[in-house]
Amino acid sequence: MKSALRAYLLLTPALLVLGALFLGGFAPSLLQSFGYFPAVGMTEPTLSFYREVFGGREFLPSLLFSLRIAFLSSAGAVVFGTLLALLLLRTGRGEKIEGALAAIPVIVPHTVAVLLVLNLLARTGLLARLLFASGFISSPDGMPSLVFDRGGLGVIAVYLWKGIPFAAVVVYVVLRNMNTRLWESATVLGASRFQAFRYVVLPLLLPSLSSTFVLLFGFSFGAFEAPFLIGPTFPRALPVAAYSAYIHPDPTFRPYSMVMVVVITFIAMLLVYLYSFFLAGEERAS
Amino acid sequence: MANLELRNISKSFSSKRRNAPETVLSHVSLAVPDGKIFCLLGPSGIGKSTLLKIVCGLLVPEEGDVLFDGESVLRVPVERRGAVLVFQDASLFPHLTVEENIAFGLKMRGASRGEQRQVAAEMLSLVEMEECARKLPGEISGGQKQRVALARALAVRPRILLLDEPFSSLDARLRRSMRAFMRALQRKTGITTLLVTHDWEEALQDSDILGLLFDGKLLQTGAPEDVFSNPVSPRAADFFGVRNYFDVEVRDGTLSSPFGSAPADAPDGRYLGMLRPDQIALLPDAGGAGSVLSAEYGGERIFYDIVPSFSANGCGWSRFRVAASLEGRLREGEKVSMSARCDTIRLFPAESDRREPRETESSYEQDLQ
Amino acid sequence: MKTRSPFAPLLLFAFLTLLLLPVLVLLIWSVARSWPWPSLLPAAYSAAEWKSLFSASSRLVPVLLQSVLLAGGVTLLSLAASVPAAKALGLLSFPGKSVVEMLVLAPVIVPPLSYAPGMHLLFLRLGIADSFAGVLLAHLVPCLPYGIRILTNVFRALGDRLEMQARVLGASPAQAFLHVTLPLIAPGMASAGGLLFIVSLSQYLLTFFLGGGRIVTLSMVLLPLVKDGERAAAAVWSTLFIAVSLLFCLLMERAAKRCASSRDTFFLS
Repeated sequence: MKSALRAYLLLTPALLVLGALFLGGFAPSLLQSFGYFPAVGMTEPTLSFYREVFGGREFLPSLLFSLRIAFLSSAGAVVFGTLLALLLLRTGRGEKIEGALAAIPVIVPHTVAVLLVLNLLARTGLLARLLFASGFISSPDGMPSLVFDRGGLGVIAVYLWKGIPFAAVVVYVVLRNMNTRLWESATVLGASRFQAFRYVVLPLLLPSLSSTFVLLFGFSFGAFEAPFLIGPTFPRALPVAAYSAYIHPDPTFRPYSMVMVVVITFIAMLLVYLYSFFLAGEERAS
Repeated sequence: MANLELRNISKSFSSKRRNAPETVLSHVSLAVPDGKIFCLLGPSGIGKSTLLKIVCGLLVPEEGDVLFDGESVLRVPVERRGAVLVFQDASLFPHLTVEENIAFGLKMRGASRGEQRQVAAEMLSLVEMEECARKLPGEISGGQKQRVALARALAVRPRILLLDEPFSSLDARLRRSMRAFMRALQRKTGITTLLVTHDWEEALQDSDILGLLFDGKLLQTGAPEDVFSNPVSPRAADFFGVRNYFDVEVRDGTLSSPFGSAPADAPDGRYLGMLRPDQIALLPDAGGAGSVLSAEYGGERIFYDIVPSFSANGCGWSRFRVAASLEGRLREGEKVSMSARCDTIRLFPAESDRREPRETESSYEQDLQ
Repeated sequence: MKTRSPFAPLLLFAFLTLLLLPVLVLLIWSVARSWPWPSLLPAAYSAAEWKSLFSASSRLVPVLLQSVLLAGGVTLLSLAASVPAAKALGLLSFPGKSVVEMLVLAPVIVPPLSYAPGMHLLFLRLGIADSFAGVLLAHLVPCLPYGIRILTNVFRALGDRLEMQARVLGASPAQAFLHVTLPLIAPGMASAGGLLFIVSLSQYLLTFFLGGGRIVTLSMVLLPLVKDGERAAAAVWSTLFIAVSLLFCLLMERAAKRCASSRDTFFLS
């Protein structure tokens, strides 16, 4: 019991901050979403804001848009990241660029990544210029819309650009620590290289792939900058919709925003639970 | 230097596997006179290390007292207690040079720079490692690390030296030379030492006093030769390898066993008799009372497993183990007769808590893992 | 597993190009004076944007100062709270550990949008809304999880054996921490510190909500520039953002090396 006391003592500063600011920060949002907002004279708890938001024109498309963006970008990052990791292992160049690869997505924030994608994919971006130079299009208007589009391609591109190197480094580290004899013994037992990957390596990678997927899904689902900057105007990503309801000059609109915030938080907490579940699996495997 | 006394030490830990707390030490008492080596022998487990941590103050016992020179030190914090523990893995500070590692304890006490350097130099020459003073622990070998760990412990002139299986991570040859080195060092410095190990040969050779720890209890203490030849129980006997057990009956001052009869001063009754493998002799004998099951070549001698044919007389054991010289090697399946001097038979109460010797050995190995 | 096939290196090259080319384009944009459609390279280069960044009327100095002070402060405070928490999570077992682990992990995934509005109300009541101190406190929430996570792994790898050894040799708890634990976790603290600095520097929404527009950091400058399509100016500020992050990481690494190698200072202190 003495060691438990010591543990809590050591954890006090961190738990104080997270308890007061993180949990304490979320509590008013939750209350406001039920229409309890004494500062503007709303004291009657009600479910009407939930009903109104859920029945509204934008909520469902926004939610689906956010989920779709998050799913496509994190699935893409995991798949391409695994491919990149295998390439690094295969060419033996991993040691040299692993560090740089790990640093890039960390050092470049979402806002800058948006700028990078704009420079490349916008109507007058580098891709359009390359297509013009090779005769595929004759003017910027001929360029298919890749940013601000309803499908959210530009947003996905931002998350892929940040996510692929991240996933690649995670997978690469697991692969490198994996005994190379696993590949060899699978091959000796008659497996083709693809079979060896599919039946031996992939199952061993799965815990890390799952946790990386969930983490990236969470990042893309809750982030605000990229869909705010290069997302479509309809449907807006859920965080963007919540944000614009929040900055509405009339404070009685606040509860609408908070309903969306609560939905976002609820989904994020589910992801946290999934992530810690996969993380535990990863720790057991290593 | 000091004499060390442990009185009635008990300690348990909350166990994750079982819900009840797990007792690792139960009412352990022992005394180490000034300048002696006490060796605690026991299967690998947490009991022995726990005892050392209690002596140096890293753990507090639930019950009992630790005394140095007759004074309780339980209230003295670990850093001022003056009992230094050397861990199995040497635990050198990887960011400090060999010299700095050795001077660490002095620095913590606020010794002057000159004193730190001087003592470090003395200790380095004591463990014959002068040339490694400026190296980092990562740059020296395993045996050298253990020497530095010893030097670092001795540098603070501890009252008690505690060694936790200090050489078990080294290979056999290096371990032998390190043990000899440690004994010489101990004799030279005359420091009271408590050593724990799971290796009985090491325990017999290295100790002035030997204690057997099993399931958190001290089974027996005494001079090594005494503990070896006069174990207090089958369990104590089993610490030193495979033992042979058989039924013995004493009536009117005469002992009768499968090996014959002899006068005995035990009261009448049934007993469990014990002989070591080296106390039994074998002779090829077509009408003998046993047959050779297998032979195991052991270098200086051969170990035979014998299946006795006299199990009819109530003996529970299926096999005997006999150590024999290399001459006149026996074939598997050959009939043999077994003989022993019946006055060397060690008698235990018939209902002694005992296990099949071979099981004992393998469960030791499991504990090791 | 190396193969002679040129396919894999080519594919790797393509991947890396896709990842790095955008950064190169960014650098070019920062020195482009005019880059009309449809030329592949700018028609004229100039250092005008950079000059205006460093001109007397530029916002550079206050923004940079505020950003670095804020992120630096957040880094220090986060590390200070992370080290003990990570020690508990890495080395001790206690009831409720899995709940604590989950709470400590949550802000990595739960976005600032969830807690920033409520935090603002709280800070209004405490009188630290729209202030440097308030933003500093707010940034601790997204930063702490990273610090705790990295350092927990560091403590797990280190174990408690060496600290026990130090105690046995006569070190007080404080001495054992200062002379043994701290130098050994310093490299981990440095890499955690670099990450914390960047996480703080990248916060837009949290800084905006709790700073009320009064605390202007690099992110606060950058977002409107990108929003308004000021490509050259955005490129210059982005480059600055990346440079500041890199510089801080390098400094942290250096400090860690000095702290870890006491080879020549041991007998002096």
